[in-house]
Amino acid sequence: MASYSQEEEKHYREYGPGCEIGSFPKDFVYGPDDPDQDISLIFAPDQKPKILLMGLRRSGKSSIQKVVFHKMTPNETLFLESTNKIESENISNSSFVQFKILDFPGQIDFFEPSFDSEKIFGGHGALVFVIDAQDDYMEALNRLHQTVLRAHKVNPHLRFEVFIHKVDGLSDDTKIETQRDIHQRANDELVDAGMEQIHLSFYLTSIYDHSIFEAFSKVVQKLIPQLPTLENLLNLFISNSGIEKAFLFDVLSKIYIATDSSAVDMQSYELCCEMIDVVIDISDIYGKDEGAQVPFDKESSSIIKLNNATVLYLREVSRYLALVCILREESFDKQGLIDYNFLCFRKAIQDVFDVRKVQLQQLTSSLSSPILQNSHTNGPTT
Amino acid sequence: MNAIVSICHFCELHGPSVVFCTQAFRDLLGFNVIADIETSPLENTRTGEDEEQTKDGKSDLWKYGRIHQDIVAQARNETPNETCVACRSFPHNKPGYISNDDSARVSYISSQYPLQTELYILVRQACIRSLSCEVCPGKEGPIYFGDEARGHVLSYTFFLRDVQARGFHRWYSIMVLMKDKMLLLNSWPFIVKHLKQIINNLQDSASKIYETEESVVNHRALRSAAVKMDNLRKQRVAGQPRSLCEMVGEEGVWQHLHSSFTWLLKASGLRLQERLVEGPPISSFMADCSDECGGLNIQQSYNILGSTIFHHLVHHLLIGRQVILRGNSDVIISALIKSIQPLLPKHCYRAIHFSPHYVDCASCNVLGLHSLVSIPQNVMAMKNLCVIDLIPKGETGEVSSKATPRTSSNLLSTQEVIKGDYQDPKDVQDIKDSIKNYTIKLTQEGPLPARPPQILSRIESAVSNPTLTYSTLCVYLSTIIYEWINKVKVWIHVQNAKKMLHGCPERVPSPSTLQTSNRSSSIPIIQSSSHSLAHSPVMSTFRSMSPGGLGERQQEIAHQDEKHHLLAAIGSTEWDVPLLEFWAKNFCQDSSQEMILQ
Ligand SMILES: Nc1nc2c(ncn2[C@@H]2O[C@H](COP(=O)(O)OP(=O)(O)O)[C@@H](O)[C@H]2O)c(=O)[nH]1
Ligand SMILES: [Mg+2]
Repeated sequence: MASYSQEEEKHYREYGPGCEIGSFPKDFVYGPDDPDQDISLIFAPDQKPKILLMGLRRSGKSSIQKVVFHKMTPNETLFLESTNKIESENISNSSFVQFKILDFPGQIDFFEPSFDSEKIFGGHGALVFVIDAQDDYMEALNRLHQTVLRAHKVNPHLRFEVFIHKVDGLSDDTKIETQRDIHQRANDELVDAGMEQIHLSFYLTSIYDHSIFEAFSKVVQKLIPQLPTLENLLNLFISNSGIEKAFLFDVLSKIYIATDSSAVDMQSYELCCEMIDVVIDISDIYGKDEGAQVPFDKESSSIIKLNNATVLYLREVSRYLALVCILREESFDKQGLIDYNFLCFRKAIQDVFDVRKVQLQQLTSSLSSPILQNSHTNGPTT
Repeated sequence: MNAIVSICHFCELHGPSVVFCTQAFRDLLGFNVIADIETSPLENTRTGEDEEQTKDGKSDLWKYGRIHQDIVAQARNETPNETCVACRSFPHNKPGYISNDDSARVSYISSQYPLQTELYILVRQACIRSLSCEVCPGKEGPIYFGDEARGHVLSYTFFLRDVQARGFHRWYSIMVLMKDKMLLLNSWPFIVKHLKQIINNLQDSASKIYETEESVVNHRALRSAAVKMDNLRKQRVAGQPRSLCEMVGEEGVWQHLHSSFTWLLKASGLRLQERLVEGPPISSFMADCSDECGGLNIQQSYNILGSTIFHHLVHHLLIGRQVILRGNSDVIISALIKSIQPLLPKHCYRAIHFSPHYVDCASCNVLGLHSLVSIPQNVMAMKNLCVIDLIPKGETGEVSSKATPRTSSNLLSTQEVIKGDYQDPKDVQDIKDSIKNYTIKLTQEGPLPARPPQILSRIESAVSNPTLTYSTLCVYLSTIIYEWINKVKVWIHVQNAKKMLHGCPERVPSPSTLQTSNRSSSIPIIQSSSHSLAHSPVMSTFRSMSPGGLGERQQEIAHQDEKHHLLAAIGSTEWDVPLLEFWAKNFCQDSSQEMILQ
């Protein structure tokens, strides 16, 4: 009987508690010929940066995740059930957009000793704290303060992003006032606690407009190590092509992973988002159905001329990655030049990919060789 | 049963919360509480809603195993003060319902939290795990988790539909927490069956309420319309906590749960009982292997026979087949036969070391024969033996063909002839040397079951391990045998009990089994009353749910089930049955049945 119960115990130790549920790899979006695929496979899930969505219950965490990554309409979020455990999901749309997103139930204190806070808060990533701006936010501020202090203690490298959320219900003046107030109070508390070195970034967000995509873009961008390179490339590209603004988009989530260094105004970002929607809807209706998750491929491109002498120009860069440019109508006369420059730009992006790929290959080969050695030393015991 | 049954809820406001739990309190032996028990008749159950009344009457109501007031008070400080209607059943830490079982001297108490702090912490941790960690997304059903430190938990997760819940349903779980994993897992089918009934009832009631409320107004539409309202009114439409009573539309839901949980605790306690199964002292079964019998020890025999032949030989041996070793050297044969003695308990090892003629399996299960002795055809035809021949090198194949035509009548003369050729070896080295002159061959073998008993692989790995000294090996082998003798005891006990029960089909909680005595030190002995459950008022409501009589087929299935439960309980499998039966048979022959006390 001893052996029986030991086996049982071993079984439960291995598969029972502590085993992660719900982390469903999304690798299946890739076709077999995709150059990005091997990268996503090489990335062990734990090496991926993670984004932790925290905040009080009903602040809108699950809604954000569903709207940004699952194309849920804002109204459908009214019927979301309350989250009862950490829901984790792998996002790996392209080599640049690789992370794990964890949606927390607001009711549970995950710093309790019964949880492994090292495992939850450790690693490379960002903590997004969502505050419901339509509600009284004093309790949320308290929780924010505690969360930030404790998470920082566990992992000093964690970034902190604060979403002042559901601002669709607020007037423009209240928005500014709320942001100022929350900013002030949160930072004052940190100073009082002697932790002024912790940096908090604030965003006004709502799922009813594009602000949530914009804010999420900025959060994601900070997790992309190649960001400065990409920005540089975009700068070179637009200055040589007479383009006013260019965004590099992840088509699936409408997160922009880079833009040139000129300031982003909400309207142009929204415009570009809408354009992606149009392109995808049109190809959805008229494109040939190849079972891809999103009808978007190497041939995808689109030109939209607006009546205010502005042109929107979209080109595919790699699977699920698109470049969307805004330019004056007269600059578009030289489309040949723009297209040539675009090819150079795309080539450069590919090169950035390749550097990453080589790095990763080296990394994995250096990682896998000790494992091999190990199995050798284990082998000949008899 | 020593367990806590509790209802947990993932509260909209407070997350996982313990809402209600039922515990059993029993008088410990020599507890002086017995002295101050009120003799006046008391109501069986009573609500604790009315605080004043409870305070006065509590000491009277709570009859058995009462714990000290201070402990309760201390627990009160540890538990959270924040509760809402959804995660509350009774006012804080006041026992809500008490049922006393006078004949068993047990009080069943339901309250919001366990009354002892240590237990509260365990239940609270299990509650978080059951609702927020060990869940499959969107799945209902029972799961097990736990360990020695935090207790073993069967947790049954389920949803109740509710128009006001954010996702139109709310998460609940019923947990059974106990310290004894084996008992919990063995009670699994029983517990799960009854929890399912309780849960189905709750779900049916909640669905009815849901349909009624939904027929008044479409709550989806209502919620969409509410988007334009201000926050406060919006909240009222969805996501407000709601009490269980309201959700199932039943004021007495806690009372019902109390009865159900009390019954569950009591019935599962009666169902499986731990008993010390006694028999003759263990030492009378253990082979004495301290002397290196006849020169060879088991490790040497293993090397001589080789792993394949050893495997077959021991398999036959363990399940009670006759094993015959044939050869022309009585010293070698009897040394081999002696050496395998430690593999069997004493009562199963009946050997004849070297016989001039065949002896049937009723009188011996290990038999040494001269190579010229043939085995009667009718015995061969029964195919339940295993013959191993030691054939002198160079004559391979001839011996058996030569041996067959001879009869035992001319044995004497042949023996003389052969004596002339061979010098009998004198010591171990001699045996080892002379064995080199033989080829060992498995010449006859009856069909074996597809899988050997579990014990065989353990024996093999021990015997083939060259790092073990002989004395260590002997200790190890006797431990294995000891362990299995204990299982055999339980097996016999249950078989006898079954035979007796067949006479009287009216038995309320079914079989009594469980737990060999070799682990009894670590497992609390579960005591329970002998009185029939039918006396309990709770019982009557539940009995109607189970079918009255079992049909023939069902009985057959029930039989199989019982057997599987028993095997699982003693850590055995289907393919251990031949061994259990063999060991049990001789067990009873050797020691009279009266000695196996119930
Ligand atoms: N007005 C408005 N409501 C929102 C917004 N985001 C989420 N909500 C609503 O907030 C409620 C709670 O959302 P949920 O994501 O479940 O919160 P969680 O508990 O933080 O995961 C839902 O009814 C959403 O419809 C927003 O940006 N604006
Ligand atoms: Mg949520």
